[in-house]
This record gives sequence, structure tokens and C-alpha cells, in this order.
Amino acid sequence: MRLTDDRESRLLDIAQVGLSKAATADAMLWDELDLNDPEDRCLGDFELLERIGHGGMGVVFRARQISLEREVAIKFIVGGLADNPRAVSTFFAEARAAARLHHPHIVPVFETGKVDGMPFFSMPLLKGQTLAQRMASGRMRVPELVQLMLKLCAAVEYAHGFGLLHLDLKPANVLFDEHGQPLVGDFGLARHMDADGGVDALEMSGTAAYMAPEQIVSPRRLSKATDIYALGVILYELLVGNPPCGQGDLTTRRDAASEKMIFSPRSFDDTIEKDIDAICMKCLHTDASQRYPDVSAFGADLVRFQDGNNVSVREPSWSERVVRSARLRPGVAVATAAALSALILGLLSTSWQWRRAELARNEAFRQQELATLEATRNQKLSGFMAAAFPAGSTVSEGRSANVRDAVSWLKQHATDDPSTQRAVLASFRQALGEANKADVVAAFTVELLDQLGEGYRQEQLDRLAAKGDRDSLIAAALIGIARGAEIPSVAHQSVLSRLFDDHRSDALALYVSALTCHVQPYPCTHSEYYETLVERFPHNAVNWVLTPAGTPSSRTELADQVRHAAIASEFNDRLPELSLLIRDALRDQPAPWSILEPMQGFLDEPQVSPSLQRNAIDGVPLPKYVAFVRICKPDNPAIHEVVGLRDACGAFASHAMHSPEATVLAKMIGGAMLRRLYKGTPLAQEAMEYRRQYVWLSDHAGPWPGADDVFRHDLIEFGEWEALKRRAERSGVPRAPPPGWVPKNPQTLLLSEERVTVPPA
Amino acid sequence: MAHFPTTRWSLIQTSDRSQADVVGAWSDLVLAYQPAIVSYFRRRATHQDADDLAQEFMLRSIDDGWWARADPQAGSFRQFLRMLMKRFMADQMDAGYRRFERTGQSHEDVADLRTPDQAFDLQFALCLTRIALDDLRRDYESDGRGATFSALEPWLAEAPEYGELVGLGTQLDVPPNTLAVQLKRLRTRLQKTVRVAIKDLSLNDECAANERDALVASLAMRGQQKCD
Repeated sequence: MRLTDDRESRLLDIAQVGLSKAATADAMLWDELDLNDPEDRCLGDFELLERIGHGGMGVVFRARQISLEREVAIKFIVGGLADNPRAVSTFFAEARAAARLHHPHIVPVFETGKVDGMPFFSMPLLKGQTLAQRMASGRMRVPELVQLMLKLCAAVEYAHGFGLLHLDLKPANVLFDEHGQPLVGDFGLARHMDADGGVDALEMSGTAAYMAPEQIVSPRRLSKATDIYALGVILYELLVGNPPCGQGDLTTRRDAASEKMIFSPRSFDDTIEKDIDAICMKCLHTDASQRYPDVSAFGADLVRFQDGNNVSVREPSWSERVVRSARLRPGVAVATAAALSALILGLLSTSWQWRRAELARNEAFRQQELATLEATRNQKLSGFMAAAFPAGSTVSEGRSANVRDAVSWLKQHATDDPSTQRAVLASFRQALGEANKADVVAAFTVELLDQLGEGYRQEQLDRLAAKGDRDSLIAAALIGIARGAEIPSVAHQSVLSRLFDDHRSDALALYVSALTCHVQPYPCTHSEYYETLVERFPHNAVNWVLTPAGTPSSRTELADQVRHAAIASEFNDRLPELSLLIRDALRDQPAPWSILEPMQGFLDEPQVSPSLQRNAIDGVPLPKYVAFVRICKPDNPAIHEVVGLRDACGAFASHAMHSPEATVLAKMIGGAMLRRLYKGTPLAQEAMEYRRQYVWLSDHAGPWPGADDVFRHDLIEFGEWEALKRRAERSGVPRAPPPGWVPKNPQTLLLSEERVTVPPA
Repeated sequence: MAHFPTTRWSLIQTSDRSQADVVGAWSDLVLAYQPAIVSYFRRRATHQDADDLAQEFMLRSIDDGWWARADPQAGSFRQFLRMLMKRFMADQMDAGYRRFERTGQSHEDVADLRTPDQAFDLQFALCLTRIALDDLRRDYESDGRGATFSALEPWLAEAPEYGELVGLGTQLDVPPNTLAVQLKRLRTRLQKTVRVAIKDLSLNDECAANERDALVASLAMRGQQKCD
């Protein structure tokens, strides 16, 4: 084909413009952006107000976040990173990890995302200087700089606890808030450690003056020691006024790395104490394995230095030991003095005596460190837990998973230690409150009850099974259904067998056997429960839904089930009966200490047992209607090919929607099926009205205290749909929406396939 | 944001879409990229046969649901389409049709040095640009700035002289500097629209980056056409 056509040739020119790489993001943000132009100034939810920084990795603006009406600092990651999809994806993974860090000395990450294709993260706008700026205004006194370093160590150690290496620690990335507290920021280069506690860095990144030798010379295996090196450089700079290799470029650093040309701080200033000098040089060892094994060891030495104790990296002289022991640690000095006296007086001048004094002193150290460890442990544990909940309203999707992770973590790290669990949960709740995340508490309570309640449920299952009557067995069968990743218990299987064997002529008992087998999260081999149920009680449409888990029906079988369900005389998914049974079975059952103790960190004691009961009631399962919904979809070939199926689907759905014994879920599912099957008919319109009413009632759920308990009571008494209407009434709103009412989000009225999904940015 | 007449490629590959949705999405796509399909067959057959082949290819791909053959490894709609056309051609030859030989005119007569793949890629890039441009025009029009678009569009590919900007500015009653900024924005928006379009037709960001590189490379083949 020839491109002789002018129009085509012009299009080709335009294609070249369109396909050319857009002006690099940093050029656009730095060189071309006109902050005086309202259109240029607005980027998504942010109004850029002022450029406050521009580095190799990005541009930082002071910005106003429009939706939340707050000022933030927003950093756009640009340069090579922005154009490389793999790098951007890594950046987001790491930014998300950084967003989980909640530490008083780490700059929190509010949000990460892309705006106009540019990756960014936002953080609080800190009004203080950076450490680099503060250093430029003069040297700090040693006690002050040690305090500062301890705070930085705490922050970095915390991040390491999350498996995250910062890899770009430098004074410019330490910011001071308005109270003068230092915060470590910019986790833009942070990486997750692998199972071996390190990271293989393919590319060189960081800031030359603060990079460890292993960041510069291949192969680049980075680890905690890499961050320790950078902390050492910061300490060095605080002591001397310059980084050990100057502010030079990578060439200078390469030379320094290979020739080990680092002079100790004391070689510049002999007033610098030998211990802090040794601590600093320990961090700056060329060989990573020769540095401190972790940041806490580094911090411990700084504390020892601060307190005038011997540091681990330098053997003190005899005179130093004597002076320190006597001056700083009277308790220890008693033991030491005894030894000294013994030595001096020559009464018992044996090495054994000296050894005893040393042991006494070491014990004193150990006790002190244990106390410190215990005090920080809870804080640390709750920090980890709180970290599972990133701030902001956009994270609700992952919240449930976060709760599960946090609870699993808690169980793993404080196993069989309810007291510690309680302490951690109490400070966690406090941390949530302080972080304005009180909404998490409710979600967390439910999940906590689910997870910690496993033992409780097992205990109740055993108790009820031992009672052995029909109601107790039904309650035991429902309580014992495995949740999440729980392993199915033999006791539960045994309860089901007994229920079936002893009560197979009882409609409710048989229903529960089949329902349990239907909803369990692993395949059920007891098809006899379902078969017997539908054989004996075919008149309840719901019974035909309860096929065993893991054995999907063939198309013919499923169509047959729908046809049977369609001619059934009732539709009852039995929620009120089952809820009542559970409530009575668990009435007045105290929570065991293993749950009561930790839960009191989160709830008041009188609330714990009722919460467990409520949790069990809320856990009553409902049938899964999905197979029926699927085969009844108008675009399913079966609906056209199987004679009578369409009418059967319609009858079943209509029954579900109109039955007073149907749960809200069944009603909504029935309604949706009708809307699909009979578009534009009065029946579909009626189904839409049900939907509107449901959305109306949900939107007006009673926000008053105890609303949920009253709702549960009404549910048992009057059924779920009626309970929903009563709840609205109690909140002072009518049972049905006024004519023409449209919910805030009209999409909630639509069928799932009609909703418009907004593609992710 | 401009809406392409496409469903995203990843959605076509998703098996849980309703049949009607997928048929519609696929038909829209092949129709939008018909010129690229025709150009491929023209490098394999005579003009007349190529048009017939393209027509048959498109109809059969819609009727027989060829999107269901989408290989999860096919990172983009373009790659998948190319693969389908190759298979289709092979089938045609195997079946003994050889329609492209019946007229006695071989594809060597076509005054173009590009391979079928290169010809297809180039046309694909042009289709994509044309669609992006149309979308952009609609966006401007919906913002009440259709006149600005029409005035600036001729300058998308080449920078106007200052005097030309002044003339245009006088005509539109807009200062020339403002016009220059608007032109810069139009180019940026075009690049963004093209980027979104490529992403729409790719499986993920990485595939989109590769896709963009491939299309840029296809434009480089422009110089290899024969001038007769």
C-alpha cells in the first residue's frame, strides 16, 4: 500500500506525535507547569499550591486535597521510574508497604495512586526543617544528636520489623514536625526483604554520600546492614559536619568503597569520645557482616553510651570502667566496688571474685534491658496491629483481609498469652482512636470474635453435643461449621451424623444437616442429607437449593431442581427459627478466660459474652442461590433449550420475593431474577420496588445504641424483612421510600451487569 | 476521558462476560480496525481478493466467536488479531482456495516493501490515532471548545510560526501565547488519549508498554514505501 494520500500522510505525522513519549513527567511538573493557571494547577483531587522540592526521584508540592479539604505534601515519582511499568509497579507495592507503617518517627503515607498517569503519594505537610537544613545551621551537641539518632534507629528498626529496607536514609529525608520531633520520610526506594533477609538490587539507587559499599559495587545484595551504614553516615555527619566520603559523586564513592578510605570522626576532632567514635565506625564497616547485626544492637550501644555504660564495640580502659561504674550505676557499683575492695585489699584477690562482680553487673544490665524490652514490646505489637489499617476512606476493600492478618499475627506472636493479647489489644484500640479509625473497631471486633472465638465455639459444640437433645444438636451443628481456613472438626461431623440418624423425620433437623453440608467450605460427602430432605419435605422450595458442597449438579439435574422448587408450596430459609435456637443454646454461657482476657482489651467485660452470642447468631448460614441464579439468566442457553425452565425460574423467583418467610437475601435474589427474566413487565417493576425499599431501609438503619440487638430480636420474632422495616420505623422513617426517592448512589438499584464500573486509574 | 469504541482487551479475554457483550465488543473492535485488516491481506493477495478475504475474515471471526481462542499469552488485541489472520490465511491456502493467485497477479506487484505484518502494524497505528483524534474532538466539542480544536488540529503535527499563531489568535480572539499553551495541551491530551487507547487494548501495563514500542517501530517503516 502506498501512502500517497495527503490525509493519510498527515495522520501518520499525527500518529508520530500521539505515540511519542509524552514530555517526561518531571519536565511537565517542573518546567512546564504553570501554577498560576487554574487548569494546570488541578491534578485529580489535588490542587497544587507550591513546589517545595525537586530531587532526582521526584517533585514535591504543597497541595490542597480537595475532597478532604486539607493541605498535604504530594510527591510525584518521576524520572526513570515513571516510564518503567515494572518500576512503577514495584514503587506501588513498596509505597503500599510504607503506608502501613505507623510510627511516631516515620512520616505517614496518606495515599498512593496515579493522577494523570503520574505515580504519587501524599503525606502530611511538615512545617519544620529537614535534618540537612538543621545541620547547615550548626553542629548539635553530642547528647542531643544521640537522642536524635535513637529516634531514627527506632523508626528504622520498626520498618525492618515489617521486612522493609529504606535504602535512602539521609538528612534530607529526615523531617522535623512543628514539635521538633524527627520523622523519617521518603520510602520511595524502600524494598521488601526476601526470605533470607536481603534484597538483590539490579540497579544502583540511593544518594551517593549515604550509600553503603554494597549499594555501589555489584553484586548488590542489600540488607539491614545497608540501612545501618546510612545511619552511620548520618551519625558521622552529625559528629564531624560532613559525610565520611564527602558529598561527592559515585566515582568518589566507588574509590572510597574499594580503598576503605574512611577516617574516623576522632581523626578530625579528638574531643569526640572514643565510644561514639567506635559506634560510628562499626556502622561504617566496608564489610556488611562486620556492622551491627541489626538496628536494635546499634541503638542499644547508643543507649549504653548515653548512660555512660560500656559499649559493645570497644573495650574500655581500666580507669574508664572504674569511673563509670561508680558514677553512673550505684547499684552495680556496689558489686563492682566489693570486687575492687577485695582486689585492692588483697583479701580475696582471685579472678573468681572479679568474675562475680562482673556477673552482678551483667545481671543488673540484663534486668534493665528486660524491663525496657517488656515496655516496648506491647507498644511494638500494637504498632504492628495498627499498621494493618492504612488511613483514608479508600481502603475498605482490603480492611477485612487486614483484620484477618492482624488477628492471625496476634495469635501467632502472643500464643497462649491472653494477658499480652489483652495489653496489645488495649493499646491497639487506643492507637485506632488516636488515629481517628474508630470505625475499624466494630469490624475488628467481629473478626476478633471469629478468630479468637474458635476455641469458644469448640467448647460450646462439645457442651451441646453432650446434651444431645434435638435443639442442642442443631445449635451445635450450626456453631461448629468451619469458618475461613479452619479445619473441619471430627466432633462436628459426629454431631451432623447424630442429627441425621436420630432426627431424620424432623424437618428442621434435616434442613440443618443439609444446609451445613451445603455451605461448608470443603466438599461434603453426605449427599443423603439433601436427598432425604427433598424426598420427605419437597414442599419447601429452599430445600431444593441445598445440594452438598463440592458436587455441582449437571444442567439437567439443576433444571429439575428448579422445576421442583417452582411447584413447592412454601419458601422458607428458616433464619428466625435457627437464630432463636442459637440464642437459647448460648444463653448465659460465660466466655472462657482465654477469650475474656484478650477481649477486655477491646470491649468492656460485660460485653464480651453477649458479643460472642451475637457473633454466633450472625453466623447462621443462608443457602447459596448462585446455581439457580446462573441457570435462570436469560442469556444462559439452558433457559431457551430446556422446556419449561423459564417459567419454573419465574415461579421460583416470584415465590422467593413474595414469601413472608424469605430472608432479605432471598427476596433480593428473587427480585433480580425476575427483573432479568421479565424486563419491562409489571412483575419486573414490582421487583424494582422491592429493591428500592430495601435500599431505603438499609440507608436508614438505626444508628442508635443497641439497634443491632433490637434488630436481632425482631428478626427472631417477625422475620428479617419485617425486622428491617421495624428498624427504620424505630429510627423515625417510613417503611417505604417516598415516591420518586432515589438513593445517593443510584447504581445500588441496578442489576450487577447494569452497573457502570469505573476503570482503575 | 475519551471512550474508545472498544471493550478493554482484558475484558474480552474474561470468560465470564455475557455472550452478547463479547460479540458486541469484538464486532466494534474488528470494524474499527478494518483498514489494518485489509492492509494485511493486501500484502498477501491482490486488492480485490484482499477485500474479499478481509470481509470473510471479519464475518467469520464474529460468527464463529474467534475471540474465544484468545491465548492468555496474547498481550494485546493487535497481536491476537495478527495471529488470527495468519491462521486464517494458512487455512485458506490449505483449503486450496489460493484466490490471490487466480487473477495471475501476485502480491509482489503491490508497490510497497513492507511485510504483511509491518503493513498491518502501520495501519493499526493509524487506526488507533484516528480513533483517538475523533474521541478528542468529541471531548472538546462536549466542553464547548470544538472551534478551538478545529483551529488547532492542523498544527498538531507541526509547530506553527509565531506569525501564524498571531493570525490564528486574531481570528479566534485569543492571545497567541494562550494559543501556544492550548496547542501544547492538545498535544499532551492526544498523547494521553493514545496511551489510554493502547492500554485499553492490552492485557496489562507491561504489555501496553511493549505495544507502544511496537507501534512506534511500525511508524518507522514509513520510509520504506516505494515511490512510483
